[in-house]
Amino acid sequence: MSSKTDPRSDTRIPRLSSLSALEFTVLIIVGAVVIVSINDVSPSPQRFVEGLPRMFKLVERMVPPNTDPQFLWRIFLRLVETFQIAIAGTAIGIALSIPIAWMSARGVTPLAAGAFVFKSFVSFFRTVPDLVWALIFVASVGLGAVAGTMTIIVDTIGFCGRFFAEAMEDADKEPQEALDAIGAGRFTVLCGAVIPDAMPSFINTGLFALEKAVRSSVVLGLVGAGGIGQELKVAFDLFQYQNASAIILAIFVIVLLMEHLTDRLRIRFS
Amino acid sequence: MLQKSNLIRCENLAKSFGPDTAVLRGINLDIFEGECVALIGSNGAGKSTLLKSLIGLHPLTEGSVVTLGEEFNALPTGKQRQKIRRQIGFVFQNHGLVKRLTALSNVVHGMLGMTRGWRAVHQAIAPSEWREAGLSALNAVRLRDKAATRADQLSGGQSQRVAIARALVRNPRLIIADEPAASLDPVAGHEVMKQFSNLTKDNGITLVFTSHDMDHAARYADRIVALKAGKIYFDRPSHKVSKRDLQNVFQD
Repeated sequence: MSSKTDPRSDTRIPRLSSLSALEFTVLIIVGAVVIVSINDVSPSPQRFVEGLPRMFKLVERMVPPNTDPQFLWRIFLRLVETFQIAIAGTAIGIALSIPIAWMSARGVTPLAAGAFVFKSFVSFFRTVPDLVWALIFVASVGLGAVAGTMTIIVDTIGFCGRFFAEAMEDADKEPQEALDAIGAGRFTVLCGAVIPDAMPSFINTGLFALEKAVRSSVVLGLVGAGGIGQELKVAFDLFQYQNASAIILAIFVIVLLMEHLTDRLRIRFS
Repeated sequence: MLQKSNLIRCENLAKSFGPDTAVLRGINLDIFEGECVALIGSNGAGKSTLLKSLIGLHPLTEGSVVTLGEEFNALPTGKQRQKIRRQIGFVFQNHGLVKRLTALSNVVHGMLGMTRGWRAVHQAIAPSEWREAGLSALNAVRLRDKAATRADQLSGGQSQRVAIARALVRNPRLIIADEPAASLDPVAGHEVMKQFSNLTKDNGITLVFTSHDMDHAARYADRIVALKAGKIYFDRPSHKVSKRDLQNVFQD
C-alpha cells in the first residue's frame, strides 16, 4: 500500500521531536537537581502534617487581634514612621537618580567614557538586597528610622537610576539634535528636550519606586531600621501573637491602599 | 557699497566620506545678505551635505567656507563655533519640536545657547522679554492662539510653523532650512513655504533652503542653485530658470 493512501501513515511522524545526547543529558541533570532540592529543603508530607496543627494553634492565638486603643495608637505612630521612611527615601532617591541617570545614559551623558562607572554603581546598588543595605546602615548609623531611610535611598537609586537612564536613552532624538544645532549645551538639552520627553516614564517609575519603598520599609524594622517592622519583630519575639496579627492586618491594609493610590496616580499622569 | 555683503562664501569646496565616495566637488558659491536661495537636486546629489558644510557640521576635505565672516574649519573650539551658530536659525525636515511641551515653550527654546540660555528650557521660567519675543514670533506665523497648545496636538504644518517661529525668535541674520516642506502635504507645504519666505524677506533675513520640489524652488526662491552628482549644475536667478532646466536637474 502506498503511504499516500494509507490513513495510518501519520504514525510515521514521531510523537516527540528527537533529542540530541547533550540535550538528553542536560534534561536528566536538571531533573536530578530539582528532585534533590525538593528532597532536601521542602517540607516532607509527614512534617507538613505534623506542623499543620501547630499552624492552626498559632492562628488561634492570633485571634482576635489586639484592639486596645493605646496599642493601636502606638501602631499608628509606627505606620506613620514607616510612611515617612518610604516617602523621604523615595524623594531623596529620585532626586539623586536624575543626575546619576544623566551621567550614565548613552548618547545623553556629558561624559563619554565615564558613563559606565555610573552604570556600574547603579547596578551594584540594585543587586545588593535591601535587607543587606539595612544591616550595613544599622551597623554604621545605629538603630532607627535614619538607617531605614538611607536603605530606601540606595534602593531607589538602584531602581530609578536604571529606568530613568533607559527613558533618557529612548527620548526623541530629533528635538535634541535641533537644540544642539542652535548652540544649546548638554545640560540645557537635558532640561529642554530629554526630561520633558521622558517625564511620563519618570512619573511611572517614581510611583513604582514609592510602592516598592512602602513594601520594603515594612520589613526593614526586622533588622532594626525603624518603622512598623520593629513592632512586628517585638510581638513575635515576646509571643504576643494578638499584637502580631493586628500589625499584619495594618500592613496589609496600608500596602493595598498604597498600590491602589499609585495605580490611580499612574492612570492620571500617563 | 554697491555689492551687498556676502554671508557665505564657499571656495573650491570638496567633501568626501572615504577614498571613493566624493559627495561634493569644486563647489564655488556666494550667498548674499537678504537673498532667498534654494538648493535643489535629486536624492544623493549632496544638498544636505552642502548645507551642513556651510555651518561647520562636517569637516571639509578641500577648500574653504566662510560663514558670517568666520571660517568654520579654522575655529578651534566648540565655543567659538557656537558663537557663530547663535546668529543662525535652523529649521529641520521633521520640525524637531519637543512634543510634550507647549508651542510657546518650544519657541522660547530658540533662545537656548544665548547668555542666560538655561532659562529658555521652559516658558515658565524664561525671562519675560523672551516670552514676549516668543509670542510675537508665534504671532508672525499666525499661531498666537496655539501658544498654550502642546506640540503633539498640532498638525504637521502647524508644527513646522512653530519650528520656523523658533528660528525667528533668535533674530538671526541667516536661516538654514533642510527640506522644510518635505514632510507636509502639498497644501500645507505651500502655506509653510509662502509664510517662511515672506517672513524672512520682511525681516531682512537671508534664507537658504534645500528642496526636491521644483515648484517650491521656482516660486519662493530668488535664486536657484542646482546640484547634480556633487557639482553645481547651474546657479541662476529663479526667473531665468526654465521648466526644462529644472527637469534636467532631476534626470540622469
